[in-house]
Amino acid sequence: MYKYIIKRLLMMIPVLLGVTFIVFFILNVSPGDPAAMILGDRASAEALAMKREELGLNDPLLIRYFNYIVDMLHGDLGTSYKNSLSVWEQVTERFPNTAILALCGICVALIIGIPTGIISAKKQYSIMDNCSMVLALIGVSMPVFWLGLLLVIVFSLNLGWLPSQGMGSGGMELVKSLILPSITLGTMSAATITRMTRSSMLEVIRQDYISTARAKGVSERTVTMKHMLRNALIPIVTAVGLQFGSLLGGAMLTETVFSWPGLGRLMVDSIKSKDIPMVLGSVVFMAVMFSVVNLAVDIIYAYIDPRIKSQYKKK
Amino acid sequence: MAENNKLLEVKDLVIRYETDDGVVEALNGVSIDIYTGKTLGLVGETGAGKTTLAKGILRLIPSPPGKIVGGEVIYDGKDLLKISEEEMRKIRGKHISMIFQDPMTSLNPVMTVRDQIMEVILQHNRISKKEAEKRAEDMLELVGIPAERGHEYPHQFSGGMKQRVIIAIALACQPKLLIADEPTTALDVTIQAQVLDLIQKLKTRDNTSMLLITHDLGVVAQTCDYVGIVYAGEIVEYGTLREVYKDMRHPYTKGLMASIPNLVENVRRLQTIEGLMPDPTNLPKGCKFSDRCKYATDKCREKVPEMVNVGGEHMVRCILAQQEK
Repeated sequence: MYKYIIKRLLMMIPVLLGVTFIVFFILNVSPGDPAAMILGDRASAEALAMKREELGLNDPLLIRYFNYIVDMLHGDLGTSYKNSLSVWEQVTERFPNTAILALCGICVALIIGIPTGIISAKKQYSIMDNCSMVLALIGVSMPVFWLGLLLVIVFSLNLGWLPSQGMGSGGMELVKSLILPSITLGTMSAATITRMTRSSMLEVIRQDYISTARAKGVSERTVTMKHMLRNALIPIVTAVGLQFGSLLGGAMLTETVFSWPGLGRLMVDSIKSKDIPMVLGSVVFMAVMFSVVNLAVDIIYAYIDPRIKSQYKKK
Repeated sequence: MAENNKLLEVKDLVIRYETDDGVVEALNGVSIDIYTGKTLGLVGETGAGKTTLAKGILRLIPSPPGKIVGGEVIYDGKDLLKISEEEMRKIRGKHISMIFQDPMTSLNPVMTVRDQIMEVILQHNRISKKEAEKRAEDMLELVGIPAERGHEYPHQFSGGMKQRVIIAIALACQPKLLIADEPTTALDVTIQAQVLDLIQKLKTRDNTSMLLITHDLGVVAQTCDYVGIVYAGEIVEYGTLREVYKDMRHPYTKGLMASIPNLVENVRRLQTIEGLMPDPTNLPKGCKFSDRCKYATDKCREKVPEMVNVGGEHMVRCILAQQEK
């Protein structure tokens, strides 16, 4: 098992190299001169040339990439072009805000998604099932920013119950400011999780061991939770993990709509100002988060399904 | 057999499946009696309705599409089809338990086998977890599995071992009736005999009655006291083992017996019964076997023949057999 985890951690290295290279390359071929962005329009040609030399922009692409990786391995993600602050510090400063939003979002999704999925599967083709499938379809297809704006219009502008912008500091204020963005984020994930729960429940619902369980005389509730859900869990955990991973990377649209000071917005702002080190730093950070969540999901598999655990042991 | 020894009585049970392709008439008025400590074997082809009958007794027919249309299942003076789900749950596993066909898929893959045995024990007995654990381990030893393997998962067991675990689950609460739905079909021949012996042994120990469903006439001859031959959702011949095997009356039973390969005579081709089982969504009006029967007359196709007693407890659903009498 530990061997497997170490192996997976090592496998993250090529993934991260690939991600950084692609982002590095794309940002370099995109138009605009970072030196001019830092010094402003009125800078002299000499000043610009000096700045470029200082930033190492005159080196060949591969050498710059190599230098970046060496710095990254020393824990240095570079300094922002915009405000000359350490990228690492800014990213880690923003990350907790994104993390708390992601956590609340995924909770909303789980609370809605799993029970709805279970009921839909158990009452397949009932009115309840059809309704929730239509709602799930709407949930998946609705643009996030549009849902966010609708929620703002209703609950902030018309009813005035909840704040529409920013992150409240401490206690009640924080909770209040979390509600709308969490619902916005959670809705789409909830829809995906509902569909996943339903389909994987349907797969186990007619299994022979379900009949065995019923023949033991246990209650339908136990049959559902202990026998069906436990066996249906693997695809659900996968879906939840993927959703959570992408939420941790910062939900750019939601964070922008609600002016949430998280990673997603940091990245959007950095892209706008062509702050290359900042964008790179955020992307690398997101990629690491995503890989870590995926690894966590794979480890959880082993605890859900003993068959997978014995496979891990063999490796 | 004396009336008071009757443990379970199924009367005129009718079960249908309502599917998109029409109504499947799976069971058309089946009546059987099961006596205390005795074994009734039900023999028939795949799709004859044997499993439906077994699941029907325990009310485990998936609904929809399945539906129990009529009949009675009398156990302990109560009609199991009329009692509440709550009461039915107390019967399942404790009074009547079931062994399913395929041991490979009948155990929950994510629970240890000991937990699966414990589940049924805890459900029906007010005892501590520790005691239940002990009993589950005793049960494992009883079916010939070392107790320390109890913490293993089903995928670590072979097919025969899994069937032993399933038997342990079924018999953990010492039920009055064991329904075994083709318990050996999915197993290797060498393991089949072991499993059957085990069932026999435990059954004798607790004086458990058994409803054994199979399509293996040899197994029936070895283990059963009574035999029912099932065809297209009906019992076509019923009686004690001796009556049915020594004096078979129904052409279908004769066909089944003839299809057992004979080792003594030099036979080139195996005997078969011509044709296929009728489509259960569109059963013939008269005798269900008439389309495949060598002796069928127009009279056979008019109306379903009644079950007729041909001596002793021997009953046959065939016009010809009645005439012979």
